[in-house]
Amino acid sequence: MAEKLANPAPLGPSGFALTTLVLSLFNAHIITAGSDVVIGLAAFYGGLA
Amino acid sequence: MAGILEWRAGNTFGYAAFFTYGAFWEWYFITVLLAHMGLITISLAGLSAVLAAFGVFTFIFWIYTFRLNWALWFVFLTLWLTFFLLAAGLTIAGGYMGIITAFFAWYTAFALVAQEVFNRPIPLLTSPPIKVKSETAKH
Repeated sequence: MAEKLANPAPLGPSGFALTTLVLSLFNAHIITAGSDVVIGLAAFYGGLA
Repeated sequence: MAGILEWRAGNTFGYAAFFTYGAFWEWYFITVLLAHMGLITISLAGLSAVLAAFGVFTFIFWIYTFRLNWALWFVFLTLWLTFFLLAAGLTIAGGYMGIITAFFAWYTAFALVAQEVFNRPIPLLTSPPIKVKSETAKH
């Protein structure tokens, strides 16, 4: 019997979307200070996931 | 990681795309970190070059999405627009376009999960922008 694997496709867009959203909020000046928080997301969700 | 898993799953498009955008964020992470530590200096022209290069990659992958589904088509369209807006120094416009991109990317992710969990077709995910009449191509 073939091994059942999870579909890897949703994880990529999930991490990408969340990180993009947060960085874009800073780029759009909706949030104006403290964009350093994005680097953790970039390293471990947007990037690693 | 999803890039490696897509490679395992035999999905060439997902493998190349996920790995590239994963690398984009690692680039962002390491660049911001090293710049803060004072180890490297970033120039505006350099940033624009990287963003424009990712814009070119995204534009070409957008062409592939014409044969995949509407959800990904919207993600890649808004994403290459975002990259070029940011590369052109239009940060606020790029920011808003990025928010739209994030919305579509999240929709795609949620729709993929919903499709499996509810076991039914989800809007924008099941139809490609261009349908090929598969048999007419053969002479």
